[in-house]
Amino acid sequence: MSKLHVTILKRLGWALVVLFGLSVIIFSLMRIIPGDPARLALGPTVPEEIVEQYRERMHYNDPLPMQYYYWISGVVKGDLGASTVTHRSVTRDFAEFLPATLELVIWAGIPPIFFALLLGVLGAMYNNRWPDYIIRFSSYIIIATPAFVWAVLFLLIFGYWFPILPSIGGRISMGYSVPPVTGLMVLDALIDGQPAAAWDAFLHLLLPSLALALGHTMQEARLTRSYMLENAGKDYITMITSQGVPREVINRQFLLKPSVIPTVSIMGLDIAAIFGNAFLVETIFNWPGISRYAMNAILGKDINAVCGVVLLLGVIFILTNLLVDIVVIMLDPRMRQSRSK
Amino acid sequence: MENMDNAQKDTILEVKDLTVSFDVYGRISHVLDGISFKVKKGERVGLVGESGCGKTTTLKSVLNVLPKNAKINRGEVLFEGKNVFEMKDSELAAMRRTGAGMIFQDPSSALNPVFSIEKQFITALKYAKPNNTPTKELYDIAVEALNNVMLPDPERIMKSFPFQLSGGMKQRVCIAMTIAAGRQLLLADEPGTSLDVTIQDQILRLINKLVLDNHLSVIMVAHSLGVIRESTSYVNIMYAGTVVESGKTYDVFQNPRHPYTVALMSCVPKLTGEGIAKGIPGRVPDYMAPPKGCRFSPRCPYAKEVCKAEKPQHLEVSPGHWVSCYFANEVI
Amino acid sequence: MEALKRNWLKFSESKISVIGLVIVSAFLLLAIFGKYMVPYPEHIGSYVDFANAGLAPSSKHLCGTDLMGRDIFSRIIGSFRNTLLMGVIVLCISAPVGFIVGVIAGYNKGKLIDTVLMRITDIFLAIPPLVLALAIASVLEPNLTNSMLAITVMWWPWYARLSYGVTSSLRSENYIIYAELVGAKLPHIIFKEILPNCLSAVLTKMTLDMGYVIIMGATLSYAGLGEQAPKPALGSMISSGVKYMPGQWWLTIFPAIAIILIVLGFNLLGDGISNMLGTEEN
Repeated sequence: MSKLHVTILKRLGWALVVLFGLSVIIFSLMRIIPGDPARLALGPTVPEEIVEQYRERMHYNDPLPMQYYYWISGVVKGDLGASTVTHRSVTRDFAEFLPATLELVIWAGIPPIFFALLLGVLGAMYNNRWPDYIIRFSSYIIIATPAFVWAVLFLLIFGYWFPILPSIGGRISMGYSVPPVTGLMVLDALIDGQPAAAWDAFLHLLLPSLALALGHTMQEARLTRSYMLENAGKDYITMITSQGVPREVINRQFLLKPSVIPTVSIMGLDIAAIFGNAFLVETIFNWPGISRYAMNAILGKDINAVCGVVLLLGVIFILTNLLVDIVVIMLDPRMRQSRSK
Repeated sequence: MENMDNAQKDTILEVKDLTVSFDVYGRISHVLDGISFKVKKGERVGLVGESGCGKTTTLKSVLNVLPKNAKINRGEVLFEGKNVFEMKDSELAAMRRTGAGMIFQDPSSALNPVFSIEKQFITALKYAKPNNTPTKELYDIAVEALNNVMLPDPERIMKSFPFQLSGGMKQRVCIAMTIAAGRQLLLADEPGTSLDVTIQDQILRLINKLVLDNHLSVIMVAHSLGVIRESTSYVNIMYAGTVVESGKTYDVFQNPRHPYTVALMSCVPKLTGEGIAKGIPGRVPDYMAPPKGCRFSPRCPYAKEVCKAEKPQHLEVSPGHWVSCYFANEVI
Repeated sequence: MEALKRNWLKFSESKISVIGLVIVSAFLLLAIFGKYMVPYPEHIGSYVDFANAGLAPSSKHLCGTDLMGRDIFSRIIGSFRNTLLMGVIVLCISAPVGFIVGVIAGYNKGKLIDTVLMRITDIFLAIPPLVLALAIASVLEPNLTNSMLAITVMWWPWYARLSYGVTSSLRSENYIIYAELVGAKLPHIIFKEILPNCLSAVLTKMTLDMGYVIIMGATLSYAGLGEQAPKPALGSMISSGVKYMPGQWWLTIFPAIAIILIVLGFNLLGDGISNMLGTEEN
């Protein structure tokens, strides 16, 4: 399988190039902001000499490529500068807030995969009968609703009218204490042998993840369904039908796999996109995650934090895409080799 | 009576008055109109006609794998005496697994792109052979079948994916899959058309050989008369969803009686250099609004009023040689 | 005329697509003429009437009033204009720009310019969409123009990818080579040969994108980065109302419903268009 390894290495190399490009763009953004970054960081009351010293130390007077070099070498070492809002190193802020968002994204991204496939297959199997109509109708409306609208609706319905689910209480109810191991609350609670706490954490995750998950899950279901229907008419399905292979076997394997492969790349994109959508959802639910942190940074014009977040999310995005690419390569034999025939 | 019984036992497939239409976004396309022909055991029957005349639809009807928007308006397809459209699921499955099999025109689209040949072949065999046949045995059968179709290094082929094989190789794989299960009737839908001319020749020879070796019956669909001449003993000439002439290949070629067949024969450029071939003026009819009478009448140079009004019956111009034309005995 | 009728028949086969068309047409109509049709046109924009602030929906105020006393229904309709403007401008800039970049890259497939252009495209695609838009919008003043700019910057790569795919696969087609041999210049080739082939994909994408751009715009304005009060914008209306849930739910629910309906309309319309143009290819 060395051809596979080569392909993966190529993708990895490419990912690095893209990261580099991303960092250049971020950096340029940072420097576009009008105003004096030193002054902004230190405040209006600090005397000019101190500000000038600060400028020297932060290399603000150096030519831009030099500034980029200093910045990127710091980044690589893990130093993203200090947040002007929390007054701590941005990296430290990340360590605190990232796991919460990661947990959210995992729950909003992975279980929905099975639902999307299930609904897609059901829709295709019952094509033009009532389960299909229900799925299609609801998916239209669900897809048209942005994640933050779902968040608002859930808050209204489950937070106030029927408060059966925790909404703005954060990740876990008061009274539970879970030692952080991975940062993923449910997992940590289970590791610590506290199933009740794990369940509680899960309930807290339910609404925000659902808000994030609904739109893309239905979109993926629609895609799966339409690929299934499209492929059902293809010659290779007619052939295997004409060979007398039972219909369930065909549906479950020979029709499903080629239909799912194009959807997988979309699923990867969607998971990465959840990071973007998480911004508002976290704010609405007061979820202590990286996106809420970033929102505050953006509104507070906290440049270091903003750039750090954009870079971080960029990295995550690129890595997720890479992973998805690899999964697709492994699923679809055609991708494994350049067409040498 | 006994003769008839014997004759029936002799016939592996009988298509009677097959009439099929397709629902295309609300409009009906009347593709097949009263197709009838027989295939005896061990016989090689040809089905010739222009593209779009319904040959593939006919084949798909035999296996009952027509698309969802197809409707059987009239007619029957009797495989070993039983009507394919009325078979129980188990009977239909049995027919597809060990009775009849199809070789598709384009092997590239007939093979599932994301599964290995091994997976596809073994799955196909699994249901054709008795239950609980061990996978190893199925594998061996598959490898032997690949050998029989002259594929070198069958083990490597098994591990390959369709995109790694050439067109000719893929077609051989498809042929192997169809024959390995022990099917008695082969439905070959222009098996060489999508391939190189030289490869096409090889494939046709291969099919002929396998058919003769295994005493199989074949319906060979083609739009090339040359192929029919070489590979069949009986031929049905199709035009626009109807059979216009049928008979022993030799008879039909020697003595074509239907105006369409005559025109078809004269289209083929002759090596004796009798001049440039004439095309047949006119176009295939619109299947959404086909002519009431003989479907060839709009293009037929000898067409009379009666031709346009009512479909002609089949006339036997000589023993075993049938023509669907009012004036079969008079033309030429 | 025949072609038009035929296309309409194909399109109208799907009732859902027709619903989409109706919704979008209503949206367009209200966006253009809304000012003259709403019950309280002066409420669009700055207007203060604390006596009537925070009223629940009634026959006088279909969607209630907000905390400044403005009629929410009128403001929702009033926001359509800018919403439409945003969608149209973003797409009218990003689609052609992206398209041309993709065509140039695809046309010169294998050469340096191909690699450079597509790599730049990939970089932009690598950033989570919302993040880039937020980042750009955050460094600029929060207003309509800047949020349009932010969204445009992150939108064009998708069209580049689309046209790149079509162009590079057509590149080796014979009729392109013949056109070149005959001396056709690049613009001619682009418009006469390449464009018709991707037209259906591009049009479908543009229609569906309208929905996404609107969502993106609403998200930005929700975050405080787009249109701001007193100008009406669906996103900011929702954000300012969230705090007052559930008591004064109408502040958020009606703008939310408006967003859903509009996006739904474009999605349905886009599906219909793709069916109509897609089956044509069949």
